[in-house]
Amino acid sequence: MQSWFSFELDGEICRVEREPTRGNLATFLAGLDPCFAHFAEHDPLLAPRLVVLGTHEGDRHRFRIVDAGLVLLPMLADRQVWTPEGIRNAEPEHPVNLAFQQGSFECSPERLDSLIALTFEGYYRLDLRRQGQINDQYDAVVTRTAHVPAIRETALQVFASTEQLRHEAARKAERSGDESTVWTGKRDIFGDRFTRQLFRLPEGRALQYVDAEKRRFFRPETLVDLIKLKREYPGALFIAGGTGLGRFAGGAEGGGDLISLESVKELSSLVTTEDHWEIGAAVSLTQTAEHIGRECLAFNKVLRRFASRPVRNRATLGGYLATAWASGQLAPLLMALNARVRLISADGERDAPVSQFYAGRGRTILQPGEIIRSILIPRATEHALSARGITSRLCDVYTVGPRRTGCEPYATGGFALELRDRRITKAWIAYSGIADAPVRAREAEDFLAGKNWEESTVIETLPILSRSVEVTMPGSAHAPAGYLKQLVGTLFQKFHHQHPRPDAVRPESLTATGEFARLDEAFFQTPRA
Amino acid sequence: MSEPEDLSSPFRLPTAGPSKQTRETFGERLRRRREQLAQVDEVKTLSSWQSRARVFTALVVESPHPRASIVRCQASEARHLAGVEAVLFADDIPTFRNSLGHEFSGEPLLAEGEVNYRGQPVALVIGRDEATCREAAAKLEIEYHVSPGILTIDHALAMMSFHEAARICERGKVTPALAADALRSSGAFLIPPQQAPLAGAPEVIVTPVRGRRGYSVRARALSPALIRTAVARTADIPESDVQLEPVGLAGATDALEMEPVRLAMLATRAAMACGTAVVLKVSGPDSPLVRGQRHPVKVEFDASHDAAGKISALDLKLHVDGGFYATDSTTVMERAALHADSVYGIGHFRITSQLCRTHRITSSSLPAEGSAQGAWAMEEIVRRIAAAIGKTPKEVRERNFYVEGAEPKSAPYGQPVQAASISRVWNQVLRRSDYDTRVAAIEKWNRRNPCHKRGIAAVTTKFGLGDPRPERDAASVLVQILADGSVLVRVGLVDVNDGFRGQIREEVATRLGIEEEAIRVILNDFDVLPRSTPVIGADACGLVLRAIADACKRLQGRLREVALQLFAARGQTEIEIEAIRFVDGLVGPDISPTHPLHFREVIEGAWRKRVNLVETGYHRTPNLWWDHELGAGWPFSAFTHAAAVAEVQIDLFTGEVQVLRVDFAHEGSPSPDQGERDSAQLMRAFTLGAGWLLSESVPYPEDDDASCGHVAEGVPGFADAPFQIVTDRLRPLGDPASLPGDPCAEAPVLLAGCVREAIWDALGAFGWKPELRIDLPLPSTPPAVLGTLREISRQIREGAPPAA
Repeated sequence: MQSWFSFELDGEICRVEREPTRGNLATFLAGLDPCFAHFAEHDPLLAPRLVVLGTHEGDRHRFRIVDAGLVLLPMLADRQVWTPEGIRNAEPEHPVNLAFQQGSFECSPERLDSLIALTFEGYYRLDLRRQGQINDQYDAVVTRTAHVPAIRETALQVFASTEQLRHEAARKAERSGDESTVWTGKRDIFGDRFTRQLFRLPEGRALQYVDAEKRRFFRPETLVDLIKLKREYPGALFIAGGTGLGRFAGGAEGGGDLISLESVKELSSLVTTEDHWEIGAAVSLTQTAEHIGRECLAFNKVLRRFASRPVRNRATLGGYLATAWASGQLAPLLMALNARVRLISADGERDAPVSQFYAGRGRTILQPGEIIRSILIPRATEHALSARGITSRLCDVYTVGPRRTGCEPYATGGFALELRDRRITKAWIAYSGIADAPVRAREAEDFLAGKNWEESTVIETLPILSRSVEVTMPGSAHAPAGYLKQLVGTLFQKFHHQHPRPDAVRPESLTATGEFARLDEAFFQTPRA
Repeated sequence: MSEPEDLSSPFRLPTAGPSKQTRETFGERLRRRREQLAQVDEVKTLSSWQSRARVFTALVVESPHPRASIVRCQASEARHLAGVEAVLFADDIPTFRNSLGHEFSGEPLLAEGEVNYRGQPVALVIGRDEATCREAAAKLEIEYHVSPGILTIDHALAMMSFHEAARICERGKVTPALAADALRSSGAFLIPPQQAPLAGAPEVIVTPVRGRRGYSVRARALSPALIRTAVARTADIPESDVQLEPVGLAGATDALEMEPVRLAMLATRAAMACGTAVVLKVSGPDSPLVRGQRHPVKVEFDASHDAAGKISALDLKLHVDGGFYATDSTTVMERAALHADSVYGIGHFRITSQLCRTHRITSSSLPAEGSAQGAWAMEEIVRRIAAAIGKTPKEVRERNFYVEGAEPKSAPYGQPVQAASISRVWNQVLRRSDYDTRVAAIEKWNRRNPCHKRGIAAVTTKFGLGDPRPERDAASVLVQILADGSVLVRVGLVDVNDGFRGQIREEVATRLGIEEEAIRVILNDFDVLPRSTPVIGADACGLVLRAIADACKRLQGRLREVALQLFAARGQTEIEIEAIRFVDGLVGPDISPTHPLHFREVIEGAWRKRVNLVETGYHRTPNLWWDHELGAGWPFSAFTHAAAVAEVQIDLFTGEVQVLRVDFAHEGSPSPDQGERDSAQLMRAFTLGAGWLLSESVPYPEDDDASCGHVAEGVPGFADAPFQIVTDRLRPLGDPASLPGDPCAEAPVLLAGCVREAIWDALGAFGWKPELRIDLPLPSTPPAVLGTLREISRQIREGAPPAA
């Protein structure tokens, strides 16, 4: 057990001693140096204090933007942190710094810092290729003073420059046959101070830290160690990304020991087999989307409206499920995808469908000492479907909220149909935000089975949905119960409008926004030879 | 628990002192004091000299009821809690000192016998930290006798609860004109509030300085000069003994104007009671004391018009919710009335404005407060008239614009209106947005698309820059030229970090002909410059820029004389003083640019000759006046004009609204190089307005469970911004001496009305018809829009009830 640890702060080793295990980075920075004083005024919604975390994910190094107020200090042991101050001072000529030197982007230096940090992550982000992803990168920006057109324009220029750089590096790498290392980010194509240090970052190691109050923080490396620790310290709380710590059980101020799942190899793996994905409980939502989003479009779609990029970079599927968020957007989709949760404890393993995982308000079927090991999501590949005699699987998710991102949504609906030609063999209809826990509309699902997928079926289903799906939490939601009740039907109708044909798996576009925004246009067009 | 220290009685020597006075050394005094403290069981930090360096926390105990009598106040248990320094009620404050003063609202600092709004301060708990104060506050025994309060404007109207008699501004003869035309439209609607700042700590810190002869105050406020006045009045010290610590703000929506006055007074009272620095805390982040709101307004109108939509007479009534204590709600009401004509020249026009007294707290700290409600009311009336006669709102708007050369040529209160400017921005935005083509395209698109409906609308605005209280329309600056030719500019304006520094630098650089890098601008300087120009309401930028021009002109005059002497010393005696120019760091006659002097040489010469290089600039807009009894005046230094076209798309399944494209045509600031700043300001104000009309729902009227937590969730995020934004910045017309310095800071709030108008247009595509009795609630959140769509379907299905 050690009473100190260190991490790299703005390129220099920062030793942390006897700081509380539940202290967050924002509070630590605020007390560290006057230049970080503004970190004290942290508000996850309106004044996030963003920093860039250098991490080692599997076999790759990544920069991830995170909210310093939502990262516990011991989580940073052996990691790298770049604050906007550090980014500005370490390389003043960095393209991101140059881009934000002039102009009237924001009304306070702190908010400009957030823009710098967000753009910095975007500059190194491998999957940021199209203009429609700008919103995804900047959705943590919620102010009345952001000059959105100027930010968009700057982002366009910065991300185009990095794409150009990547294309040039790939062209050079073609000769040596290792072009793929450029596109997978295994090779440092930038060669700047930041990436040089990032690529030196070792894998996360085990940590056993004790603070001045004798509270412990464990970061085991293996599942066996994890279970042993839990047996030894039964009162310890499991923690994954930690983004919900202030909001859910235990709380940021609470006492007790913490066991971090982050470095447990078995929980941090992403396995793809022919018929399913197995997502480790400690894998971040961003990583999950990078892994399955290209095939599972609905997952990418719902993540675009889930919290904000800094939260998605830390939050995990396991943490999301364990905290039993009643109006979370992911549960209906996971239900529609027919996902299962694998649970593990000292007594052994078991699994359950996501729809049976919730047990009422804020509760799940998790027993004391039990943790989520992974989430199994079936893949809708042609091979997997044809083996069951299914011709197509339609799946989509719709979420409605007071604004596009970063808010408590009103309601979310997840829908899936398995079809044999035109006939529905099985249906999944699930909602969140309308009751104490995400629910499935079993009666409507049963009704749909055996029917043809056509408008008349949808119209016949609506009264069943209206009758069988109860809205039970109008008081705690921000929307009136009548509205939520309406959404139960209209979201299902929307699903039909976007997926009218049984043979077309890809959703039809309901609107044509191309005339206003070139969302699908790449930042950088490869010049023709 | 000791009694609070009496700071108001004069100090007197003890009447019966020790028989033999001995002079103690400091060490002896220290020892004696320690022994005294050790003898006391409960250590009183209150009067101990050691505690002077500490910072205590003062917690405001707020009324949970909007209206109640205070039957009993008891604090004995709370006062005995360890760590509690003092608990103050109204009775503990000296007689006649328990008031905010008449300049503010005249309300008691701590409630005296009754409370009149939810959140009204009832007691002040001072302790070592916030947790202790909250624990003590929970132990206070305050018994209320609750009465039903007036919480809505309708209730106030029914109870005839007003602050003062209605104010009337009338042009022509409205009553006979209303009767003359065949077509009449009338109605009523409510403009809801909008919540003011949402981020940042609202705490106020007051620290005694100079042996408690003065106080230093740190508060997030839009008008620091008011804070100084308030603190001085509370502590009964000269204002010169109050120091204001600068606080940089993140935009004009990051602080409040009047609320910090109340908080600063309470904090000062707490600091006086315990003699140490005090951090004032309120009940929570949703406390009404720190959550300002745009005033709700109920609008009633009666209009007569012809079949083409030309309004001949309009009787408009604006009932403004003034809260229980009308802090500056009167000004808000006047701004609403002064903008109620918007861009429409209506011959017979009567604006009756009345301030309703409700059991609420009100404030005015958002850009375009009052003016947005007034102008938007008029746009809504025009839309309703257009609907009634089956014309498009665009046609009716164009028919009613002020027209150049035609009557009326002035606003109802007499200030001339530039009709040419209105038509210029209107035509420009229609041309730029390709309005007519897009209307046709949208119609076609809507016919094809059963899931989404699009709508488009255009509005134009005329925004008056200036405060109806003329004493606020002034600014002072101090320009200092240092020995090396660099320049310090001190400005008595709150720093809202909106890029104004750059504009000031540009102005000074142009005036003195030097590089911008050599100029340092110090905003928030209220020690050197006592006058603080309000950043909201008045044309602060324009006033400051003119004050700078004033200072620079006088400095140039002195420097020209120095330059003339230097030229003469070089033998260039033919140069005339008027011909000397300051350009690009050089000083010389414009007719012979050879051998000019460097600016630095001239400054060196000036230092040697002991020429004063410090100059105060001052500007007040001349001839501003406003007489509310006459309903006439010239209240604005200038009008700025802008127009916008918005295209929106409604998701018929969810009620979500996406703004697809916005086109702006607006008059820019006088400097051609400030286009980027204008654009940023434009987007900021437009976002504020769009949030108000689309997503920021505020509980109104408040109920007991009202929580403002989710209001923050309605503030538009990055992804809610319009997909496409097209801006045309036009050179402002008119007298350069009165052009607004920052025309885009507030006026575009009004332009956001075009989004709501576009939603109405989309509802039309869904099947809405004027004969349906439908209203689209404000703000038009997804539940409100979907509810409206459902109501439209229902009424169409069941047959529309007769229109009111």
